[in-house]
Order: sequence, then structure tokens, then C-alpha cells
Amino acid sequence: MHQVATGVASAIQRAKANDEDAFANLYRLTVRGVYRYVSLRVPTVDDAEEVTQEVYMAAVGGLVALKATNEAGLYAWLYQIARHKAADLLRQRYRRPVEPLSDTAAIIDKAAAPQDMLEREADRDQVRNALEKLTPEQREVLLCKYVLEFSNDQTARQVGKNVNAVNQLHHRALASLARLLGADNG
Amino acid sequence: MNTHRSDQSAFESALDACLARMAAGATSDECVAGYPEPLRTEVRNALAAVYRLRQAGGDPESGYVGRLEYRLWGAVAARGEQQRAWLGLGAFLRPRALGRSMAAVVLVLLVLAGTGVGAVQAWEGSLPDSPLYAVKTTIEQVNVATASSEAEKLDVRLRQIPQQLSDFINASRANRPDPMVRRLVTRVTETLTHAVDQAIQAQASGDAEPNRRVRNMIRTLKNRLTQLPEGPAVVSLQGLSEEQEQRLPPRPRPVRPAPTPAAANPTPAR
Repeated sequence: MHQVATGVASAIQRAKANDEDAFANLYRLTVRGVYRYVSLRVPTVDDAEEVTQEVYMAAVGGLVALKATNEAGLYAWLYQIARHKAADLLRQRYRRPVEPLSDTAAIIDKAAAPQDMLEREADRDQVRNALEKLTPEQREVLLCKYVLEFSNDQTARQVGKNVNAVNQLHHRALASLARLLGADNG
Repeated sequence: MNTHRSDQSAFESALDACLARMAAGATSDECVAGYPEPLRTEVRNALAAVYRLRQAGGDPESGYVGRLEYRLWGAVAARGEQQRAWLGLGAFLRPRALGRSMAAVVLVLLVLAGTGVGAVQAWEGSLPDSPLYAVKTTIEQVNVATASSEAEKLDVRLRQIPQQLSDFINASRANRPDPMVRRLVTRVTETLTHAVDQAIQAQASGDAEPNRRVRNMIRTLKNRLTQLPEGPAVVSLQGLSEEQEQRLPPRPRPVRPAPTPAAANPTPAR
């Protein structure tokens, strides 16, 4: 564990000095978590890919300012960028809804997909819609804890509340999510 | 309030314990069996919600992860080169170093004048581990920057792509280190991206010819890549080329002349 921490600290330092391999290591370490978070915030797989790319491109540009020296700090920083980028995309979509042609393309893709892929996609939509119905704080608490696997302390820091407040939010958020998902199924 | 807190605390600890047990292979029914109602139902519902939340956040496709890695690699390399260029310019402009720098420029010019075509050929075949490679990439940039029109810029770029692809193939065949091969993938992709940008802009202003030329270039590029032994760098370059191809707008259909009344209703033969 200590070795991993030292490895991340050293990779951050080297990436700041434009070491491409070090940045690639940090990317490989974090990309799945970032993508999973983003994919639960934006409507389609294409959007998730676009936003994830924007997150890392922004990270390349802003890496010099990164103060974190461990994996948790790195994740927290990327998560902040991801949150803003996902919100930007949603705002953009709200103002300018997706053209019908893209919908058709999505349907064609889905038609070609095997059954389990279709079911997974439908389930993802259901969970995403349920998450959208939670308050922003409840949603972030759940995503931090169960998608990014943050500890209670880290989650509290991310949402800017103390651990007790986060525990309360967490309790209510899970109850609401369970109710919304149950209602969807019923 | 205290009751609420103790309920919440009981819920949190039951949920944490169940998640840990489920991670070790237990079922949710086994986990909640020991808890009294209504806590049992509440924890069971929460576990189902957590399970669906975790399942729903899908993993990215491996092809996407690889392509993005190449793109980021290029972005980090470009940032490094930009910073080095600024540092180099700063050093060049320092009064004490100015004399020495000018002398170096004169020396390089003299060497080039003496060796002529030989030197040009030397940097044409150079790869990123050669000092002449920087000269080659600079000349490429100068050629694009000094092109007098957008059409000429596109010509220059479309001439550069096969040369850049050859560098990539040479480095791959010579088993050069992975970072070097990646840098060459980035170089081809960057030039292609600029060409595609130009084709998109040209078509938006009514000229579809650049689109046709860039499409042909991508087709040639992809054909050459299919002839190479498959490896991560080749697969990434194929994926990146396809992405660029998809960015191109559909080509406008040629307008067929409307049939003349005579052609539409031919006079019946007598």
C-alpha cells in the first residue's frame, strides 16, 4: 500500500514534468472510476466518452496546479473536473436538445446489440433517471461512496459537509433511490 | 432525535457489515437474516439499490481506453515540447547567450550548405531518437505555416501523412521503444485531425473536394495499416483514423440533371 502511495506521488511529480509515461500510468489507474462516474451522469455512452476525454484533456492542462500527492487526492481532483464537465454537457443538452438523427443512430446501435447489452443499457437509464430525481447532494454522496469507492471522510470533504451530515444524507439518499428503483420496477 | 440517530447508526453499521459479507460471497438474504424488522427490509432494499448503482456505472470499452491514452500521450508530449520551446527561446534571447546562439545558427547553416541534399535526406529518414528529428518536425510546421492558401495547406498535410506513416512503420519494424512509436502515432493523428478540420470547414462553405481527398487519404492509410502485423500501436492508429473518418460530413450527392420532357416521355416508336 505504501509502495502504491509512493508510486502515485512520484508519478504525479513526473507527470508534472511532462513525463508521458507517468501521466499514462495515472490515467490507467483512474480512468475506469472516472468513466463510471461520468456514465451515470450523462445520457449516452458517446456522451460519457466525450466527457471523460474532456476531463483528462483538462487534467493535462491543469496538472501543474495539482497539490495532491496520493491516489485519493488525485481522484478527488479528477472527480471535481468530471463533475463540472458533466454539468456543462447537461446544461448544453438542456439548451440544445439532441438532434433526432443521433436518436436514430442510437436505436440502430441498440438493435444490433445482444439482449443482455440492451438490458444493461435499460438498467443504466433507469438508475440514471432515479439519480436525477435525488437532490444534488444526495446524488453526489451515493456516487462518491459506491461508484468512486470514497471513504466517508473523503465523501464528506468532496461534498463540503461533516461526516455526520454525510451519513444522514447517505441514509436518506439510499432510501429514496431504493424507493425510486422499486417504483420503476413495479 | 436520539432514536433517529440510533436508527441511522444501526442502519449504517448493518449496511457496512452486509456489503463486506456480500463482497466475500454471501447472499443479501443471508446477510440480513440476523437483523430485526423493520431494519431487515430497509437494509435489504438499500443493498439492492447499491448493487444496481454499482452495476449501472459501466466500464469503458478497452478500445476507447487505448485511443484516449494515445491522445493524452500526444497532449502531454505537445505540452512538454511547447514548454521546452519557450525555455529554449528564453535561453536564446538572453544577452550573454545571444552571441553563442547566433553562432550556432550560422554553424548549422554552414553545415547544411556544405552537405546540401545529403543533410536533407538525413533528416527525412530521422526518427524521434535522432537530433535531426526536431529539424524535420519544425520544417513540417513551417511548410504548413507558409502555405499561401487553405488548399495549399491541405496539399502539404496530405503529402506529410504518408511520410509520417512511413516513420511509424519504420519505427515499428525496427522494434523501437514504445514511447517513440506512440509519439509517431500521435504525429500522424494530429496531421490527419488538422486535415479533417479543414475538410469540414471547406464543406461548410460549399467545397466538397477536400472531403473527398481526405477520405481517400484515410482509406489509403487504413489499407496500409491492415498490411502491418497487428499490435497495440497499429490497432490504436486504426481506431484513431476511423474516428477522424467519422468526423467527416457525408459527401453531398451529385445533382442529377432533371430528365427532359422528351426523355421522360419518349415518343413511341412507330
